[in-house]
Amino acid sequence: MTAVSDPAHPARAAAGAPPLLRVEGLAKTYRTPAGTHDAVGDVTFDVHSGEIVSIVGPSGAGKTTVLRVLAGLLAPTAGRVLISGVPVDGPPPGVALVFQDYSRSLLPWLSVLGNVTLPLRSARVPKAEAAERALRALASVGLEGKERLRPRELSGGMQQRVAIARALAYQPRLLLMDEPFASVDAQTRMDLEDLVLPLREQYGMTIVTVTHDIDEAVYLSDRVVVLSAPPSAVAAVVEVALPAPRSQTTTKEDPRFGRLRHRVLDLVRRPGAPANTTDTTDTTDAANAAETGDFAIPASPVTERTPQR
Amino acid sequence: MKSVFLRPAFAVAALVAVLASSACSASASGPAGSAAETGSSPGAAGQLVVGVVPSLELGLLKVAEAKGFLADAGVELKITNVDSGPNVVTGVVAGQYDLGYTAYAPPLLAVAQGQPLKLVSNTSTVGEYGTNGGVLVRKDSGIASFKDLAGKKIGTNAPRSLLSLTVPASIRHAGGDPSGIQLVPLPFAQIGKAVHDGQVDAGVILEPFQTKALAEFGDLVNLGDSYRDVLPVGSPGALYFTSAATATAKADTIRRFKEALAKTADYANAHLDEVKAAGGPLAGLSAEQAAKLPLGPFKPRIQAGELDTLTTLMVEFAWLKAKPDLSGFVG
Amino acid sequence: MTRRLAAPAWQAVLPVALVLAYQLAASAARDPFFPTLPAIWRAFVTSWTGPGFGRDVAPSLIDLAAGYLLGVLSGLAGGIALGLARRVRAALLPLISFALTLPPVALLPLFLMLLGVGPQMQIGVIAFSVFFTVLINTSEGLRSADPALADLTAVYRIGGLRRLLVVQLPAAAPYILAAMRTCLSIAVLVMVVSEMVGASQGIGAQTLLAQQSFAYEQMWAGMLLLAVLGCLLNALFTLAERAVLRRAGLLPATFAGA
Ligand SMILES: Nc1ncnc2c1ncn2[C@@H]1O[C@H](COP(=O)(O)OP(=O)(O)OP(=O)(O)O)[C@@H](O)[C@H]1O
Ligand SMILES: [Mg+2]
Repeated sequence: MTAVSDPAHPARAAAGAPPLLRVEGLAKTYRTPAGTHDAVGDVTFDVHSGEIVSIVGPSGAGKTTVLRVLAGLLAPTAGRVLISGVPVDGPPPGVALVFQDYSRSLLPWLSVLGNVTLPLRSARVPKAEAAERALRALASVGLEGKERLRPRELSGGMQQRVAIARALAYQPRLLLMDEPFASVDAQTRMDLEDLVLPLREQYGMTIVTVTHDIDEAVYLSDRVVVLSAPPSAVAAVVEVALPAPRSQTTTKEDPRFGRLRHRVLDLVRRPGAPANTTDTTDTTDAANAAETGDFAIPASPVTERTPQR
Repeated sequence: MKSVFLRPAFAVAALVAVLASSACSASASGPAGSAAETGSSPGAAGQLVVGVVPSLELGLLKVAEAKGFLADAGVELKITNVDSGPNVVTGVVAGQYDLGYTAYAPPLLAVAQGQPLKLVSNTSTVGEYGTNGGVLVRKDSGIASFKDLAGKKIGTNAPRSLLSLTVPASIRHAGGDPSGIQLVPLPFAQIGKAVHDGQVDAGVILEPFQTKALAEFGDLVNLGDSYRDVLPVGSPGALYFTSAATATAKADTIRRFKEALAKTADYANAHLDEVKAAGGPLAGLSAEQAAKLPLGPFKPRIQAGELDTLTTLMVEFAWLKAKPDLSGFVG
Repeated sequence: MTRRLAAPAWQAVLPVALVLAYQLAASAARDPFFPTLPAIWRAFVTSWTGPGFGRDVAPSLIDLAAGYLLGVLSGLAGGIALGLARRVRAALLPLISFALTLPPVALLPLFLMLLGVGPQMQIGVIAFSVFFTVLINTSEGLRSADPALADLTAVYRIGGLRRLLVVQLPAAAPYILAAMRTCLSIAVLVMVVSEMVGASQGIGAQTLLAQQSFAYEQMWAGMLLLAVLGCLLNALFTLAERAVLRRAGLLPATFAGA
């Protein structure tokens, strides 16, 4: 239970409790007129309350698919998803999703404020309170003063931030994000990354985010789940034991950051390469073993668990 | 977005296109009429295209064919059914039909508007009281005479049918004020039900619809024969007519048709049952129905003066501004 | 840009040319069937302004408005039901497709039987002519909405009336408005034709009277009124439609229009 003492992993303090999110043997086969496509083969991982977990993997690896299953938008072909121990069979309450197609998820006929308050009003949050929460969320993503505009009147990056603000204002217990910072400039991206980090302290949010950006995955996460090419499985789960608080300058200059980055990059580039990374059953065992404390976290801040045959 | 604004343009374009195309067909009737006698349009030599409003009286043409009166005269008829008198007139004016058959109101109105139509032959005449159609009212309506129709809503087959003229004339004749009545166009087949349901206070009707309606709705009663009320027995009832252009272009064929029809009328007046039997199917009547219906004597030749009562009424009830000069029409 | 600016000018060319051509042809022909434009205009003024407006034009417009609104509202309601209930839609679609092919004008006698003589018959026929088009387009618009919107409402648990009014109907608005605009022209046509049976007042009744009286100026005046009415209503609707869509952010705010 070395992790318990790790200040970078506040979640581990509650390690005895069941994980907030448990993904068990998830598989998804799409049926299309052209035939079937095994997008997700066997994905298993856990996320504890208060953790930030990134999912990385090559394009088409099924990252969006996994996220949609977590959000209850898609039924898995096999396996199951539990949130606080309850199986997901439809969109569960208290879960927000920032869509990859952010522009399609904003309603052009509502103002920015209208878009952000819509889920709140639907959740019976009083009008004034909804507006207040929305304005705070908009301010936190740097969109103060834009609340009266229509999404169309904003740039792509600003629209993406509206979608993020909508999720933040919703104050979910589980926040799912699908490449949320893909279309913002480098500076804004860093600002948003630094916005996400304190969220778990502020709201006790648990975050699962999909990203293409290895730096971002390492910088934000407590753990990085690396998916293999489809039919995807968990190629590796990389523990990121970088100290908190993290900062764009000091953390990214930390040599441990560089090593982690390098490690993840290798895994993403050739996730199926080592013969011993393909057996997903072992991955699951390994992951579970780690969480039950059978896997000691070594003195090195990097814990890489590579599935073993 | 462009299409949005083109739409009005198309509306106007369509309107004008309609104007233009009907202009073509109408103007064709003038000069093209002369070509018709020698060749194809609309009928071949000796052939006449007749636009008719279906009626029992058309048995006359069937009898003319059956008894060989038309064949003797070298005339062959091509009969086309038309839904209303005004459309018969329009077809004749446009050169679509050589001859038209209808009651007098449409051609007289057209003549008054400057269309050079020519009477070819009168056919039927106004019959005895009760044989020229009726006006249905509900028994419990409190309407006991034409006078009581003042201010009422009256169903009629067309706003410019003769019945729409004789009813107000009858009201005035009975001492009532016809100015407040409201005439509602309704198909004859629905008049009975409309009166029965109270949708109209009264409805003008002709046979065979009258008998049918009275049989179906026991609460209806016939108020009387407005036709005979205002027009004397023997007044012209319906006619065959042509346009001035066709009258010139097919003068000979039309003259022979006229003579054949006069001979047929003489025969028919002595054999009205044969006319009814032949005309029944044309008017959609069974043999028994046709046999029971009244059919006035045929009278091919009339004088312009005999139409005077009618044109006077038309002026009095504002159908016309002034009495038309019928000398060209009756000829 | 230049094309857009030039468009109105081009759109005016054809009607103006046709009107001029008509005037030339009519004054040359001297046929009572083709009165000249001034004659038509005089008939237009006497028939449709002054007492004629209150007696004929106003009741027609009231029937038109009532029938159109009734048809649009019931079509919307039915379209929403169909758009949201897949099975109901599948069951009713053949019937609706059949009904769409029925010309309302041909059904006039039926409406006369069912609704009797009076404005309710005109209103009924107009509503009928509008109903199915709005119905099918509303359900089509709801069904063809971006699936991303369904994901959105599912994840954020936006349901019930709020989902319908704030998400689904606005998304279907372009379909619904297009159907409503098409139906407007149909409704004008049906209004006129329906007044030719069982009506003693109204634009259609007067035009029928003019036709039966061979009062050609008045007949053309009636058609002119219809053309003007059709254009006017269409233009007004288009403006309103644009305003609605622009307000809804479905048209770029900078769009200049024509
Ligand atoms: N609705 C669908 N029907 C059929 N196939 C699908 C569907 N959605 C995704 N796929 C397929 O499943 C695979 C995984 O798709 P997914 O969108 O989950 O990948 P991803 O990892 O999110 O990719 P990216 O990084 O490009 O966003 C792809 O091959 C894709 O073509
Ligand atoms: Mg994706």
